[in-house]
Amino acid sequence: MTASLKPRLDRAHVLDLLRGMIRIRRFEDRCAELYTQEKIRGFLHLYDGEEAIAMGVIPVLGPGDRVVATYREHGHALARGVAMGPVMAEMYGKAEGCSGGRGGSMHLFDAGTNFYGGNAIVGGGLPLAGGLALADRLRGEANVTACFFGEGAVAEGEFHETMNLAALWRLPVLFVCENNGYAMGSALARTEAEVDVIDKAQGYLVEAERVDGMDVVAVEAAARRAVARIRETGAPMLLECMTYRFRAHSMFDAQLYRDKAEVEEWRKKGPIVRFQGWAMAAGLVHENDVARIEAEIAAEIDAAVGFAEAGTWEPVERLADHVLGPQPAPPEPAAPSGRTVEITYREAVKQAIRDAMIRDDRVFLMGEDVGAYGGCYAVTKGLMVEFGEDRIRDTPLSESGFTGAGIGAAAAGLRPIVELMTVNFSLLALDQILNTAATLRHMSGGQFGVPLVIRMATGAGRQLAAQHSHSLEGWYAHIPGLKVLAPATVEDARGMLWTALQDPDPVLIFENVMLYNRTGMLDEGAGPVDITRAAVRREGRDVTLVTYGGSLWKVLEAAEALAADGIEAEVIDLRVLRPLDDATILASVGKTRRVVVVDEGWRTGALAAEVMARVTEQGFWSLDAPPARVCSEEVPIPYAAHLEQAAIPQADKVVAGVRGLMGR
Amino acid sequence: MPSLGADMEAGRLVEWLVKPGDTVSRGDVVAVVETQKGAIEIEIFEAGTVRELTAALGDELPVGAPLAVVVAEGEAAAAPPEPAPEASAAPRPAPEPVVTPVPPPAPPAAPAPTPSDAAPAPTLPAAPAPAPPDAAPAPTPAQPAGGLRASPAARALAEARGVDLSALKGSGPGGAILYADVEHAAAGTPARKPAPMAEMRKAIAAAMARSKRTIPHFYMTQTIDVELVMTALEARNAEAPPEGRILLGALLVRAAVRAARAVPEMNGHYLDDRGFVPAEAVNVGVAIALRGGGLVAPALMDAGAMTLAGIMAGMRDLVTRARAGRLKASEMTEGTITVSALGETGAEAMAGVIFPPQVGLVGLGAPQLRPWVVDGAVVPRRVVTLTLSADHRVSDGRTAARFVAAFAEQVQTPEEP
Ligand SMILES: Cc1ncc(C[n+]2csc(CCOP(=O)(O)OP(=O)(O)O)c2C)c(N)n1
Repeated sequence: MTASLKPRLDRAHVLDLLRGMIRIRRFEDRCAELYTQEKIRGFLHLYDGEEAIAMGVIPVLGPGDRVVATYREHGHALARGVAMGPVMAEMYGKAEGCSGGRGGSMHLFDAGTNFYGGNAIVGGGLPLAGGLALADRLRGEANVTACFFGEGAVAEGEFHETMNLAALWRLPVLFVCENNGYAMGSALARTEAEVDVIDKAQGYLVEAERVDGMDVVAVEAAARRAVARIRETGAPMLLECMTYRFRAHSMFDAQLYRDKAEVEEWRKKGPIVRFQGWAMAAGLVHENDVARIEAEIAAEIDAAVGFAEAGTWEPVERLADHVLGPQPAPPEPAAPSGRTVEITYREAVKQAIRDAMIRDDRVFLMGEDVGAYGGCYAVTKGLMVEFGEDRIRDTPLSESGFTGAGIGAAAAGLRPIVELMTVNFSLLALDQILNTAATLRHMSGGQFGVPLVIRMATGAGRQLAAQHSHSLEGWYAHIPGLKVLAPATVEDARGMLWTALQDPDPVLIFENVMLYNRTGMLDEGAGPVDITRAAVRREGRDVTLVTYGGSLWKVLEAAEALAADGIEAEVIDLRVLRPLDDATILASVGKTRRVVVVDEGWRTGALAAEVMARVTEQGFWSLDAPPARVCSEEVPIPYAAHLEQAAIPQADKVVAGVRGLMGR
Repeated sequence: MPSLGADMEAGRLVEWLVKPGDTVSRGDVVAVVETQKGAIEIEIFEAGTVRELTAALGDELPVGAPLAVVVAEGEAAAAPPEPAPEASAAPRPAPEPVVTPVPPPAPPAAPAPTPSDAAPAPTLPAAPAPAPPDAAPAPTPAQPAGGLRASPAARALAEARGVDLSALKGSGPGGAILYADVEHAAAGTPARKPAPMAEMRKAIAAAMARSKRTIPHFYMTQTIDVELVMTALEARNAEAPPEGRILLGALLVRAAVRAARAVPEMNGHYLDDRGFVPAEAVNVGVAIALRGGGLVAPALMDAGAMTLAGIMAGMRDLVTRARAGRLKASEMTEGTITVSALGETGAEAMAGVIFPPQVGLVGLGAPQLRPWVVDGAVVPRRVVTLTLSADHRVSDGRTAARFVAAFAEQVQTPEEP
């Protein structure tokens, strides 16, 4: 879009701006009324007073540009062209809503206008915006992503991480800080030492400008300059729009934190009175224009309310829709070539990454030290030279920022692989993984998926102590919207990645640190493997041992020891921790009538407990003994080698567990 | 009272900012309401004149309650005396459509089957008990009593193969019975008849058909006044603890035993090769209806030697063991005559089918209150009707009449101390 740098204040444009602001205001007035009548529920954050920002910025964007907003986003959605009927129906929670009734007031989404939603995690939208822009940058498309947030968000780490990433990688993002003076009820000075948002941005070398957010013309002028500049340079910019909200933070807010006089003072400077007064004085707008606009808007709102009222409630049978996208068919197993090679697990993962990079240029990998350093576990050594710095992308130490960027890039159509050094560090990205990656499809009523793969190391055994050694994959397996894989063999290390990249949803791959050096025989023609089934790694009739990941090899060792005593154990490798393959587990337990689950997670609430619960629920009448488990002891993993080994499952503990169960 | 938050159910009105007669326009703040979150100003979404403040300061009002009546311009004259709901500051909306259809009320539970548990019961089983309602959970294997350690898999297999877990020794930890133990035990026993009840019905059918085919039955009936013995029994029972009470059934069985002793042609077996073989002892069969249908008639062995209390105790024991499936083989094969009684209530007479190879069956109706001639006057009396079924190959009318007379006499003989 080639926008001239200055707004052209002809009558038509002035009427458009005025209409746009009044339209948002009246729509929200009606929402407030409907809220008191319990037609709209949950939180309702109104934009009253801030309309000049959405109307000044969003119409400047082109259709290919993208918008990320907050929970106070009715104005942004309407300004972006999301039709009022579906927006109102969403407020009602109706199936005809713009997010299918799954999101509500805080989560308006619209794929048709590249409206990536209301995000209700303060600061959570910034990494997503960075990722959308990263996709545009990598594809060489001159789109701009406009990202709106309140001044409260500048205290969040995700703001700082994203400022840095955007400046470092020259991401075409227009950051729009809507500074209304209060985050809920806390004025900026109560919560920040440095209250100057511009300074903060400039500290990251992001060009920034402050504008009067109550002046729609000033906002538009600044937005035009900024968008043009971003398109030209590719670099991000930040606009800080000084504004004020006339109403409470949300409906349930007694406004103890500010005086009425202050509100009154600001109301006089409100964006609509001010612009309308100026336009009438300038003779661009007449009394009857305003009356006509009001009448037209009233009719549009009535129609939107009618649309929402007439809308339908999604049948409860469809509750589980939009958790996962359409499931692809599992890959055909590659025909064995007959030639096998001995290969390390590390090398198998590396081959999988290489193969994916070669097969699909939408694939890229990013993470801490994946490039120049060659990967913390040396998985990616040499790949940066082969594929370049764009596709083997070193990131700052900003787990949340770059994981969120992966989410945005995936939502924009790329196939990123994010590498997190270890599962302990993934906790710094947990917000993005859980609140964005796992929920985006659902909150948007199925409009946006996140085909992202996140790889990370897990597990103990390298004497890395309590902040590098935990096994938290079971936590992730708790989360609907994710798939969780744990390759234990070289075939799976080689074959799961490509299948995961074909999946429409976020897939987490956990690589146990003790496996990287392990070797196995791999068919030269090995290719993608399914990510739906557990595998029987050893057949037996007396007891079923269910495990995954690094514990598999210890369990197989235990099975050998048991066999020497005439106890034939069947060993199941879960492979996929979410969704669990109940059928394979239960078929085995139905045969052996006993089960021991071996899991490196801590005993309390580990995935083992879930497996045991399912066996009990579905296989109770086939059991000859209570389900048992061998898990990690309930201690943070210690440094000293003997203590570390004592803390995690070992073959002898598995043997003892089985004997206990069998009374032998 | 407007709803100001998803968790707000009520608010307390703390301030009116308008009074009757004031004109208000949409968006005006009209009142202050105290909520959990503090005081919140509430605005009005109507324009007009305040006619009446219907809520008083300090009132705690649920969301939706009217606070005031506001009349729109031009509406004043016609304003109804009652506050119109749509004129209140925050009308409560009509109830939302019900998202999930309310399920129809559950059908009334099927009446619980009432098996005639009391004591000896009809010769032929009553209609099968009504099937449990469909909603009943899938049958799960029975839990053997007494904290038996058996794994779920063992229990399930035992149920399917009809293996008695209590008879097994477990090989699992702590002696727990495992799947393999049951499998082993079941290998020795023939695969379980699919449904025990059906098997029992088949056996009853075969025996009864054989009886009617081979035994020329004849019947003799007499109605006996039992008023005095029942009154005596009731008086005795009133004093006795529950386990010491004696039911009419025991009295009738004792009478049958004594009659059988007096008329040996009615007590014994008819064997094809040897003809009638009288029995030395009276092993009186007692017909017992089983819960869930079916019927057995185990014998009280040598009942002739028992006191009335002994007979009562013996009958209780037989009922318990019959229902637990723990009868002895001899009890099932060595009966010499059978008594089948309808119990304390029910039909007045019953002509039964003889259990081969026995030659007599004493059928007894339930006691009935009837007009009865006593000493030349008609008085109400409780009576019991005896119907003796006899095998004409062994006995004839005279023998039967002797038995009936002996029975009647015994029934009316007061109990020994
Ligand atoms: C991570 C996170 N922390 C806290 C909240 C609760 N919360 C919701 S809105 C808000 C204030 C945000 O203020 P600001 O960013 O200035 O936006 P405004 O509401 O003023 O538009 C807070 C603290 C949240 N939603 N997310």
